[in-house]
Amino acid sequence: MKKCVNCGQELPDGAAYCPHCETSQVEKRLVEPPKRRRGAVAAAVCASVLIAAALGAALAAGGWREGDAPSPSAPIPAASVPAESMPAETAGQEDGLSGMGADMMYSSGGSSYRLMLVIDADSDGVQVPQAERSNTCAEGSWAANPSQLYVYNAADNSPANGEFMELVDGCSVEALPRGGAAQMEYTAPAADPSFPNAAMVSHISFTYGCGTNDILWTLSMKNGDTVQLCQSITVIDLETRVFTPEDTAMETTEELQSLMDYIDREVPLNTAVDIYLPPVTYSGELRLAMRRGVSLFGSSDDGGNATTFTGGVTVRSAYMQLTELIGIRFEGSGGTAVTAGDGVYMDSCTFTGWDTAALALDGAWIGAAGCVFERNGTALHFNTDSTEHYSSPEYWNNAFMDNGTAILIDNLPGDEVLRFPECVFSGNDVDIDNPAGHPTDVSGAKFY
Amino acid sequence: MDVYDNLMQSLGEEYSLVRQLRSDGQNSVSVWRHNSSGRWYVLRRFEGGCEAYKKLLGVASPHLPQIYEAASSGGLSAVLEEYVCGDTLSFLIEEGALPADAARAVARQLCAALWILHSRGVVHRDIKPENVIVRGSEAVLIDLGAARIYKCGGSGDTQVLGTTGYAAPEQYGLAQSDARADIYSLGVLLNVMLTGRHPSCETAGGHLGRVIQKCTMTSPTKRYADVLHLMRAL
Repeated sequence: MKKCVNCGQELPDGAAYCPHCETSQVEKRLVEPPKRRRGAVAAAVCASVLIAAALGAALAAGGWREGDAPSPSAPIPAASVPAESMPAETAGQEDGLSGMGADMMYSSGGSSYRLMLVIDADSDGVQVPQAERSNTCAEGSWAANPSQLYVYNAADNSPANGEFMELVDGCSVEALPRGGAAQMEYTAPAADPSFPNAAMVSHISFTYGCGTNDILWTLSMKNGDTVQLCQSITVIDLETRVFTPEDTAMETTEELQSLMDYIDREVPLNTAVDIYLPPVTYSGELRLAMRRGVSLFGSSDDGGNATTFTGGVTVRSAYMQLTELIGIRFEGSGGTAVTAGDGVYMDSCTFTGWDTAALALDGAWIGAAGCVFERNGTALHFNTDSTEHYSSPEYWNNAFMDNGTAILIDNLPGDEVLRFPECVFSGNDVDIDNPAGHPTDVSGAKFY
Repeated sequence: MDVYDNLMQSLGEEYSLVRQLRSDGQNSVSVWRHNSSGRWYVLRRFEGGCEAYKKLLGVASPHLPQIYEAASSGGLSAVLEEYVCGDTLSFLIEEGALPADAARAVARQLCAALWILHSRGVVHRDIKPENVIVRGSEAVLIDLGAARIYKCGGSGDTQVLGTTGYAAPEQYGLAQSDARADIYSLGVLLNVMLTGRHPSCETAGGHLGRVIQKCTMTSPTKRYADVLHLMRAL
């Protein structure tokens, strides 16, 4: 027998609950599925401007996820939703919340502060307030931006997060859709170790078709004041061009390379590209499209054949695009399976027999979920100067088995913590080699 | 005294029966009220083990009822869980098909619930509108009565469970149903939310229609590999 942790009532061993005081005897953990963020590109609406933007403008893939993101939510039929929980209609909604911006001054007790909202933050120095952010999103995908609050002393621009937050009683965030848009999801604002210079961060998730939302921050001050800041996030819908084996020649590496060249020449940059590959083996090197990211989907058939690459794949796009590799086998005998010159996200892929399974070079990023890395020299190798993380820094449910080194971090600037929830590390000579000293968190992983 | 006996004794002493929801021999579902706090709970009693429920004892999710206690004795199990207040999806659908955004939101939330179950080796096996309660803007998946632990290499579910029309084809055969059976059922549910009809009668159009088709492929290997892939497609 044991005693209730709350009331001391005698309980049988193994009891999870005290029926007397209704107290759980086991720790309850909020569990939510991992979320993946697809790199989003800021773009203008006009096609010609898009091309110019893609070639030279500051394109930022912002945003990531954390384990306590809210569950997906959207308007449920009005019959079952209390009126007070429906998104608020505000005056001037078509043009955004009038009179509110992403940058303001606030004075209290003889001190003056500058408050600002930022999404694309610099790693250090005084941030630049950001009233608007546009993202492109292909149908069937979704992405996220981190809305961050920064506070500075108005007199000298020195950071004042801690001092200011002492004056705050409560802080909330709301996503307010503009005229006909869908509501974006958002997390409760909180300090976030991946954004150490921000006072608080709220992660805003959105999908294709979301339109524009005003992200309203409300700070209730202890002295009774209410402070509000606002920034807008707009989703520009991308059409998707789909290539399948039924309509496109892609049985050989040469045919696939021709397709990549065709995509670079003929498919507009404001169109996402999904390529469904047949269950064949591709030998020889493949260089993916140069001007954009593409999504490659592998397949398998009843005969045990599966989409397999035995030669390396080079992601050579620039301009912060994200390439996705889904359900593909990479079977090598030395060499590098995936050389990333830009953002790459690997989902449900297997990598065996490579010197390096995936390598992130300068300007690049590699993310992985549900992948198996087995008998490689190095599984994931970061040697990049990029501080932009195109996809979630959560490496969920990967297996690293019998590699020389599972994770090698030679160079990876930035503060976003690499996490490995549900990952298995087994039989590797070295599990994580981190000369760069990048923050990592292996608390969710299993080591054998 | 074991956990089962302690729970049943406490119910008799410190709780009051509010109403019996259903009863069938040894199996019953009833609502109880704690005499001091006034909180309501659901008590499920059934034959067999409650391993599926035990796996949720440490879990909190807005899309699954909280499981407070799960215990077995002498071939009978008792589970005390959260009373979820809201309308069932079946009630909402009676009023008409749901808008695509709402149907998608419900489906994604159910994917979140299924991810929790599947990641613990539990297959629900009875996803249908009656087992989804809409609480505010949250969809909650209830009733693990048909759920079981999926064991790799296992042979044959001994009972045909799940609801006709929603149950995946393999639930009627000899193969043991795995998580993809739930994906099938969720595809059917999504179609019903959008059209009011089973996909064999009328399939929704557009992108969601393609998602539903992939969910309801006869061969499990042709469906989405897991609920995360389905969530992504949604």
